[in-house]
Amino acid sequence: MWIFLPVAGISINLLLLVGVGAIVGFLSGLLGVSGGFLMTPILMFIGIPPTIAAASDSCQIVAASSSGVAAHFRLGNVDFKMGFTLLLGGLAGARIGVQVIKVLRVMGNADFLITAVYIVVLGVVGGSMFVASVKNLRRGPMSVQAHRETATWSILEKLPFQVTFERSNVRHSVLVPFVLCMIVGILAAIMGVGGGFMMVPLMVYLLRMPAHLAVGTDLFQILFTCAGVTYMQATTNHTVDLVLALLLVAGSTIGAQIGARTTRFLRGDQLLIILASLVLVVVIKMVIGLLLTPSSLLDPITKAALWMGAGNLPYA
Amino acid sequence: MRKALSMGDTGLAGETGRGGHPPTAVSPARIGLLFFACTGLLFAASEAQRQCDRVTITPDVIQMGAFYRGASVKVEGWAANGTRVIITLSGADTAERFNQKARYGFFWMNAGKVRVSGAPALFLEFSSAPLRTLLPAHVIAQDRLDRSAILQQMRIEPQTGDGEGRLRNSFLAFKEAQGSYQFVDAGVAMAAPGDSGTPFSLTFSLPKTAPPATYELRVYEVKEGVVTHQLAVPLRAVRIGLPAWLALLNTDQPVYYGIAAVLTAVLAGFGVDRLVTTIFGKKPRIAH
Repeated sequence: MWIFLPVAGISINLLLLVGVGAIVGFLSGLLGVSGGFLMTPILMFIGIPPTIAAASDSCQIVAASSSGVAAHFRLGNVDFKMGFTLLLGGLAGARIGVQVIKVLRVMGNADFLITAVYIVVLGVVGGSMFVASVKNLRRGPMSVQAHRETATWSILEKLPFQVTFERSNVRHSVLVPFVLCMIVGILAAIMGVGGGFMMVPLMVYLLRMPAHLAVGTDLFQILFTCAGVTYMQATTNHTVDLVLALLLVAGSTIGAQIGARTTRFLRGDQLLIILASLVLVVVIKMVIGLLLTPSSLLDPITKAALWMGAGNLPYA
Repeated sequence: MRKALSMGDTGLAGETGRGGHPPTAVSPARIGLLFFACTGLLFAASEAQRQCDRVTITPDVIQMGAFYRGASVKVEGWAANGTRVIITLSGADTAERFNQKARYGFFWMNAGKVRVSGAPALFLEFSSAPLRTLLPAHVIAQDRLDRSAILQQMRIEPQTGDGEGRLRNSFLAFKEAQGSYQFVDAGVAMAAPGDSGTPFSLTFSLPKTAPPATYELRVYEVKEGVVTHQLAVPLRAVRIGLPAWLALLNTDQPVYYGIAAVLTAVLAGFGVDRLVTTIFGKKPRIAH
């Protein structure tokens, strides 16, 4: 069955779009990532123009994360206080990151830096998360909760504005999650991708949140950032295809539900191993792409450049 | 010409002109000018009608509704006996921006942006025999009828020197992979010649990736390496129904469209959650 996408102006198979949405939605519900780094390239591969793919993807993430947040909320996996703190930090970081990338572009070495940051950050995050999770899995079921008290943590505990995040059962200076999320926001802006794959491990290892709560809370802040991006893309670039987004939503919301429910059958370490594997696969694909001679010397302009051009927040 | 046809100016409006002025006398020179103008217009109209009658396009307007899945277009007509036919469908020239890949040491990376212009957004070419056997290279290049002609007329900015040829080929390959450029020799079928000419026909699919636009369908009659006759007919592809309404809302009311997009997405997300909960029931909370 075929359907015509009014803003993209092309015709495409309906079941293909729903299927793509379902797979990415499942990962979103399972791992707390927005899935943007997977969805946009897939949409471009099946013939959606890059500008429309990036903007409509944001719209479908709003729906998938709404569905995921609702499911996680019922399971007790959303820390609203932490979520709002992270949201503010992420937005501030994204704003700074956009300015950083503008300066780098003027200096003329932005593309090299973006690629290098991408590989290093994803490689370090994915690799360390994978190793730590495997170690924890070998030690036993409660190992994620067991944190050693280090000198760094002693310093962090002395910072002002200490707040108890009851739902997560952790106590931090409000500056810690804010600054952490701001750093992720800067990196996300430079890399032009979402911060989900970086946020979840940071929440687990640095903020000491349980993995399930990290996933639900991350989806909560993704909901707000992507709603903002969708609105700005619609009003600035006119590139949100509502029909495309709704078809992806049809698949992704159901996928997100299944993903969120699947978390009940997996331990936190297992979730992190899956996420780490996904991140490492992306890194390997990027490294191969850097080394092999491309079939074409022209590459359609995608999300990062579009967001930079529109002056929008690329944190999603 | 417009002035000559104006009723006020010719005095054919009636007994009184504007502002109560007395009627103006019509000079014989003006009547003669008017006669020639009308005759010219009638001749041009009848010629256009005759040319259009030679080619029939079905459908004449492609309607892109909610369940549009590409369109099959049939072109039929009559060519003069002894001629061959080339048919092209082209979109307007557009400018597209790309990341340009280049090698630095061992790595292939984006090396800035390039702008490709001077190439049509869509170009489909069909002929009744291999193009090179029908027309000489300079005519093919002049009328931009094949790959090399498109490559030649394409512009790439900023200019990249030695690597420009590879960029041009990459663009062409990109468009062909997209289905936006097609070159089909022997796609046009020609029947046996009759008294009034040789009937020809072509059926092609407008690519599913072709956006709504006014395309130009051009029919060339060629004989012994010369274009003996050519005809251009517009082929419109237009959105209808819900897609037309949504596209209009997107461009004319972006604020409402943006709010509607966000709200629809949020409601869809919570709606599916509600539906799943109703069907499968609530799950117990996880003890953290």
